[in-house]
Amino acid sequence: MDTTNTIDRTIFANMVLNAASRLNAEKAGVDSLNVFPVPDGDTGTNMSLTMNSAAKFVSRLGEEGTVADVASQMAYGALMGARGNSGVILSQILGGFAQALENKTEIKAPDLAAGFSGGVAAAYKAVVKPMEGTILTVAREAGEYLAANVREDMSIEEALKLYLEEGYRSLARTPEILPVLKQAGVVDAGAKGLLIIAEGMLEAVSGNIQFALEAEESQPQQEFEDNHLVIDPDSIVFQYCTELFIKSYDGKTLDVEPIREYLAGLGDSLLVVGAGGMTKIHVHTNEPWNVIKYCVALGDLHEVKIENMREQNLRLKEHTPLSELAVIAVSAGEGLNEIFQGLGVNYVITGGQTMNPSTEDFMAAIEKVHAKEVIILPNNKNIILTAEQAAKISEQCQVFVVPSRSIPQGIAAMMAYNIEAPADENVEAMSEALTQIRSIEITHAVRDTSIEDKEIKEGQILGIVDGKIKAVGDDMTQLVSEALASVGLDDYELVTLYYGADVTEKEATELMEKLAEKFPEIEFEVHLGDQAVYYYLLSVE
Amino acid sequence: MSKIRILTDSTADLPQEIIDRYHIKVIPLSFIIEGKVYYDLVNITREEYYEKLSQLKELPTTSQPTPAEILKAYEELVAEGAEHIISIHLSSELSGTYKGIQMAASMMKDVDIRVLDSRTATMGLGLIVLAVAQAVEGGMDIDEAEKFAQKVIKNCDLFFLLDSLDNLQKGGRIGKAGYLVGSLLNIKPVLRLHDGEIHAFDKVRGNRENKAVEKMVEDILNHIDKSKKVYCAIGYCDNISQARKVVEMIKPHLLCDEYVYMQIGNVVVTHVGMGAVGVAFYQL
Repeated sequence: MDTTNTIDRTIFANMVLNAASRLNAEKAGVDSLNVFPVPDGDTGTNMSLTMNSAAKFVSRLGEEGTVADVASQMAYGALMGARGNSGVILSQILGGFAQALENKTEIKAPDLAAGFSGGVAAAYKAVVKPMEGTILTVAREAGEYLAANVREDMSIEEALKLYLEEGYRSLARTPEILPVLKQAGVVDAGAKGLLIIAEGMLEAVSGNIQFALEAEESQPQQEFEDNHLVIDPDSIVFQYCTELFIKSYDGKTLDVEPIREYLAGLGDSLLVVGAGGMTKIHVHTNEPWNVIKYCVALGDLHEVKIENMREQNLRLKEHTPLSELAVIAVSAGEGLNEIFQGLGVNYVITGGQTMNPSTEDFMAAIEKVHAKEVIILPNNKNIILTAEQAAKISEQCQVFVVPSRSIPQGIAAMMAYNIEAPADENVEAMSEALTQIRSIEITHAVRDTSIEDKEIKEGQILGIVDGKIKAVGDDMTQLVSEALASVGLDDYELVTLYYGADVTEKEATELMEKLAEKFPEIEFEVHLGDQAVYYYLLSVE
Repeated sequence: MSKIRILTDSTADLPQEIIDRYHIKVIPLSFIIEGKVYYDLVNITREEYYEKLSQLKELPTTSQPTPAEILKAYEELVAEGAEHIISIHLSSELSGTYKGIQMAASMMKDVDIRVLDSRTATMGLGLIVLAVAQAVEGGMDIDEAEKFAQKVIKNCDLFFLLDSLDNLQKGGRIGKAGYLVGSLLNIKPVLRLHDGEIHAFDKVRGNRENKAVEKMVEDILNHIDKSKKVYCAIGYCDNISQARKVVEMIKPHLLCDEYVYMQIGNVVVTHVGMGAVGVAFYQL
C-alpha cells in the first residue's frame, strides 16, 4: 500500500480532532469577522462548538471502527452539536462528507474530493434562502475545484492544499459578492471557519499536530444531571448514576488523570473535576461499589448519591401522561423567561444572541416537555435553522417551528397562542402574529466600522430595527427616539420596553417617561427583561 | 296555564319581568359570608351584595342548592299543576348544581322531568331559558320543546370581559387559561364560555380604553352569520353604560330584534368580579 496516497482511520480521526482543535484556537478571530459590530460575534464559537461535538463523538470510538465509522460519528456529533446557522451548515457539509465515505476503509484523494463536494448540496438545502458570498459559496467553489483537479495518484496532503488554495481565493471574493461584507471590511466568517477546519485536517496529515480539546468543558455540568430523565430506558447500558465528592486527605488537589483513567473502565458519562482539595466524580456504571471503593482510598467522601436511572426513567414515563401541546422558547434573562412562562411557554432554553443552543439542546427540551405536539420559538434569526433541524430529526412527536427572529416577535407570537387549539392552527396564528409587530434592539458597537453608509465608532449605541441598523448615537433617549421614529409610529399604539441586565429600573422608567413625552399618541410599558447584550428590547405594536 | 313548566337556577340572571311573564321557577344557589347563609337574589339584592363584595377580604364560598331544596322546588311545581318540567341549569363543568338536579329529578316519580345541561351560565343560560319559555308558550309539546332546547344549547355562544382574572382563578373556574393570571404583561383576555368551559379566546395588551371591548366585539361579529337572525342577551354588573356601548357597537351589523339586558347575579359575580360585561347569542 502506498502510504502517501491513502490515509487510514486513525489519521482521519486525527484530522477531525485537529480540525476541532484549530477552530477552538482561532474562534475569536472568526467571531471578530462578524459583519454587525454588535457583541454577538458568535460564528466562530458556534462552529467551534459544533466541530467539538463532532470530535467528541469521534474520540469516543477510540481505536475502534473503520474510516466510514469515524466519518459517521463525526457527522452525527456535528448534527447533535450544531449551533447557529453556520453550525447547522457545517453539520450538513460533514453529513455529506460521511455519506461519500460510506463503506470506505481508507481514504484516497478522490474520496476526499467526493466528501467535500457531497455535503454542499445538502447545505444549500438546509438554508431557507441560500446566500452567495458565504460559507456555502466557498464550500461549493473549493469543492468543485478539488473535484475538477484531483487525480487518483495524488496524496491527501496535495488534495487538501488544492482545496485550501481555491478556498482562500473564494473567500477573498466574498466581499465582492456580498456588499455588506465589503462595507464592513471583512470576509465571510463562516467560510473562514470552514477553511480553518480544512487547515486543521491538513496539519494532521502532515503529522504536525497537537490537540487540546475543549469539547468536554464546553458542556455545562448541569446537563449530566438533566439527561438522566431524557434517555430511552432501553438504551441505558450503565444503570447507576453515581456521584460523589472526594475531599483529599492532605487537602491537596488530586490528580484527576489517573482517576479518570480508572473510572473510565467502570462506565461512561464520566466527569472528574477538581479544585482546592475537592474533586467531583460523576459516572454512570453498573458497579457503583467499585467507584466508592476506589475513591475512598483517595480521601473522605461527601454527598454520595447513587441513582437507578432505569427506574427513574420508567417512573417518569409512567407517571406523566403526554400533554397535547407544549411550547419551547429560547430566551435569556430572568425577566424574559418569566414573561414567556406567563404567556404559556412550558420550557425555556437559555440562549440567544451570544449563546445559540444546539440541536441536542432542542432535542433534550422536546423530550422534557413530554407532549404530543411541540412548538418551538427560536426568537433569534441565528437559531431558527437549529430549531428546524431538531424538528426534522425528532421522532417522538410532531415538532413545529414558528420562525420568530427576535424576543419581541416571540412574545407577539405567544399572545396569539391558544392552549386549546391544535398545533397547526396555533402555528398559523402565531406566525401571522409575529409579522404584526416591529422589533427594536438597542446595544453598543464593539468595534469601528461602517454599515450602510453609517460611520460607527466602538462603544456607540446602536438601534437595530427588524435586524437592520437604523440609528447610531451616543445619547440613549435620542437614539431610541430615532429608532422608534424610523418605524413610522402612526400605525402603532403600544411600545413595550424590556430593559436588560445592564440597565437599572430607574434608568428604564426615566427613558420611558421621556419617550412618552415625545410620542404622546403612543402608550408605553416597561418591563424587566434582564437580558444580556441588549440594553433594551422594544416591541412596537 | 300550560302543563309544561320550566325550572332554572339563580345563575340564569333573568330579569324579574321575564320570570313573571313566563312563570319560570328559579331555584337559588347560596353563598356564605361571615357564617351567614344568603340565598342568591332571595334574601340579598344585587346592589347589597355588590357593596358587600368590595369590602370583603376573602371571597364568599358559593354552594349549589341542596337535594332537599331541589325536591321542594319540584314538588311546588307539581302542586301548581305541572305535568312536565324542563329543568335547565348552569354548566356542569362550572358547578355541581346539574348533578344534584339530575339526582333529585330521578327521585320524582309522578312527573316527567327533562334535565338539561346548558353548557353555559348567566346571560347564556338566561337566553336559553327565555327561548324555551317562548317556544312552550308558542305551543310546542314537551318533546318538541326539549329538542328545541337542545338545539339552542348547541348553538349558544358567549363572549365576555373581566376587570381581572383573579376571582375566576381563586374559584377554580378558569380552566386551561389559568397561566395568564400570573402574566407580568398587562394582558386583558377576551374570554369565551363555550361548550361548558371558560377559555381565553383572545388577548389584548395595553391600557387604552375600549381596546378590549373592540376586540370582543370583533370576535363576536366573527362568530355570527350576519345574513341570519340572531338572538342576543347582554350581561353586566354595575356598568350598564358599558353594556349599552357594546350593543351600540354590534347593533349595526346584526339582524337582532331585541337585545335583552341581564344583570349578572351574585353567585356569578363572586366568581367573575365586578366589571364583567359580555354577550350571549345563538342562531337557529
